[in-house]
Amino acid sequence: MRRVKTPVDAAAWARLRLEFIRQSPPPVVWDEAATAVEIENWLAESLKRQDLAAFLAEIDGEPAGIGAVSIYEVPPAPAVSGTEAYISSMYTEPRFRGRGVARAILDELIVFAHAAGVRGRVWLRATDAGRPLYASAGFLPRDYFMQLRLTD
Amino acid sequence: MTRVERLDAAAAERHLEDLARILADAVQGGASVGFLTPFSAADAADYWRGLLPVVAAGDVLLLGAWLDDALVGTVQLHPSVMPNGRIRAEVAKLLVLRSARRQGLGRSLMEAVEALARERGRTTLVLDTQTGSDAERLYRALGWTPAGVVPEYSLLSGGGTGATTFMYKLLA
Repeated sequence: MRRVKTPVDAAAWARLRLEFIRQSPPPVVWDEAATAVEIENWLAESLKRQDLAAFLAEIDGEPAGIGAVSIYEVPPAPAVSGTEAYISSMYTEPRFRGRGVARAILDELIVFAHAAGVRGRVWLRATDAGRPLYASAGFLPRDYFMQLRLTD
Repeated sequence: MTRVERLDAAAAERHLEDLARILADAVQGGASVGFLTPFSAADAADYWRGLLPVVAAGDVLLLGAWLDDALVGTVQLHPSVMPNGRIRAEVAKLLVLRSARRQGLGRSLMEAVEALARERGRTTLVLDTQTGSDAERLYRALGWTPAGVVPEYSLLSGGGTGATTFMYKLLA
């Protein structure tokens, strides 16, 4: 388990991320090569910044799972810290599932968020399959989210 | 030069100011160790003064960590007082001055408190810690197992609530 910092790790991370996207409901226009470039750019950006981090887990030297966390600031309020985190790109290779990979990545992302100053909320969007894992890590279901998609 | 030693009630009383400084520093640094800011060294001294009789009675075993000649860290062992709990103890209030961190004192304190527990026949150890904290990571590295996370366990000094991870370690 480590933060992605080398080109080799970045390539492995990007490969798993693309696999994840392939297995998710596809976007209307899905240009795999362009998405691969965007992922590489994001990883390069994450190396330069303290508020973005990608993590890669290995089993027996093979890339087994990925996760990412973004730290961001919201206006302070009495009941919440101004620094929050959003967890994304949680994916485990099918053949490595059931071995605690996602849990190990999640723990690492939470430690990263804590070290980055998050003392309030950590968010994520859970699939049905992921919900028990997140619940066991202390995440509570919240049904007050709304989402808006902007396009060109 | 670092060392870890038991503090009996008399030694704890002699070091009351140091202990108060360590606790106040931890609380001011955002550690979730029972208290909320504002929290002064005087508030911290009150806590330790209240603990002295408990230490004297042996219901809390106290350890201190020294860096050169300064007391800079502490940890407690709370052996269960229940008849069915003679195998069990809680590790509590692992504190190291922020200025003395990253030198292995937390690890030394944990190793010492585990040795003390084993010596007392307390082979089932439990603790709780702020989810995601450096402390949780240290406990994992020392072989502690997370038993579960309670999402809204404690109030935070900055407002809101924080999650806590309950952990255990079975000493062979």
